[in-house]
Amino acid sequence: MSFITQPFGRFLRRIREINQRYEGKRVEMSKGVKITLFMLRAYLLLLVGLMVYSFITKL
Amino acid sequence: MNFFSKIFYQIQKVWKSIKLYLILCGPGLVVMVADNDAGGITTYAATGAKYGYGLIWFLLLLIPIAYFVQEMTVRLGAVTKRGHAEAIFEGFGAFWGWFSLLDLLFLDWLTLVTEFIGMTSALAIFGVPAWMTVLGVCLFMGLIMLNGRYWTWEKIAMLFCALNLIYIPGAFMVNPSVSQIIHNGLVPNWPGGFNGELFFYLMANIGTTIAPWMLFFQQSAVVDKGISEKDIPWGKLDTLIGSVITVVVAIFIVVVTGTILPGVDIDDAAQAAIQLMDYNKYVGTFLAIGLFNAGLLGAICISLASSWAFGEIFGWAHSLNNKVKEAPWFYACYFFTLITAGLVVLIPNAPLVLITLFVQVVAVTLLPAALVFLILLLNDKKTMGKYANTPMQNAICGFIVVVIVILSTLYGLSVLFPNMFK
Repeated sequence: MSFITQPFGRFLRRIREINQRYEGKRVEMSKGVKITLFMLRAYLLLLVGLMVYSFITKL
Repeated sequence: MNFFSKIFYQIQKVWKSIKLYLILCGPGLVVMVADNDAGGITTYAATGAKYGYGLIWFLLLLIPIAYFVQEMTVRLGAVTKRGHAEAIFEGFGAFWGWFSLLDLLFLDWLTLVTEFIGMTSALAIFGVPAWMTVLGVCLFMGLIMLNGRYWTWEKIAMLFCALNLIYIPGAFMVNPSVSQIIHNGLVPNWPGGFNGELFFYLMANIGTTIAPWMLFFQQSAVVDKGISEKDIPWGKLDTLIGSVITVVVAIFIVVVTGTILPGVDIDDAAQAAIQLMDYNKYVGTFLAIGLFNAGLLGAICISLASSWAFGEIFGWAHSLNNKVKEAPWFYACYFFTLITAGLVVLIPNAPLVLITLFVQVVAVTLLPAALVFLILLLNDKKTMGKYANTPMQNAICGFIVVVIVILSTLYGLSVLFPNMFK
């Protein structure tokens, strides 16, 4: 089993390293940037919600 | 004597500039011409057949839109020396970084499938079986990738860009009426009135002109080519020339189908090529060759966009200047996406139409995000310095982004809910 778990574990460690490396944000989080990112998040949630709704109603 | 020496000096100066441009051109030209991929050719062929020359003026408006969006990636790449994926990770943190990266990977792979659909259907017209097309394309792309030099890869890609001009002689061969093109095509109008169907075509044309992979590709290509701040004007010129060529090619496709197949509903460009062959063997053949070339060029660029992005984030060597031994994961990622996308087309009864629709919807989710991040990154004065967006650039690009976000969202909704705009 180790031939599966070892590469998988290495991959997870790599992901954690990447997450740590990019923990900070270089772009200054001004009010405008924060509002833009919030709106983007809301937009994406709305769109994904509509996609899910569309697929459920078509099934 | 003084007069002649001045002329000689001027000629030398111009020649030197042309030589410098030929060295530095590439990323802008390749990305813009590759934008006329298999899906793009189908959209333009269908637009011409449906509305004749009526929407040529609208296509011309896409030149500044494509230019202003793409030139931002030139500045960002040249100043930060980072690809777009890495710039998003650094600028906005891991959450938005992973979102962009995974969305890009998924979208690129699906788009690659549509390129294979275009290539196999184009060569099927000449009796080439799908498996042979997929095998041939994978082997050929392997050969051009494994030469170990960005420069060689780029010049081969530019040869295919030149082949994209095949539609121009095709358009002359169908003898279109120049006065009608000027009268119907260059005067802004809504052919048949503004309705849901026309709106769908307008949005499809915008969607094929600005695609998320283009932002990632051009920025990574700028970095891989080693373009620096002082080369930015050349990178901008390259992007402008590319934007003009891509729209000019689109207009010639519209002219071909608008002249020969007016009022015909077209589902794919291969179908249009077969119908054109009944009128003129050569014109139909040109469209089929152009469709294959468009799919191939799209595939060359799209698969690279994903590999570059993954290489940047995972810290793998990720340059076309690296040999396979030096960058094994970069090449593994490239061939994995390429071969798996090719295999999908070979699955009997694969839902290829559903995949094509899905590409449009997923593109809608990434495009607004990618454009918003691009504008925010270009306003980061700490990093961009004097290359940050000016208020005028922000006004132009901000307007373009808002319009694209609204239209692409409506386009996505129209794909999800087809009866919404009827």
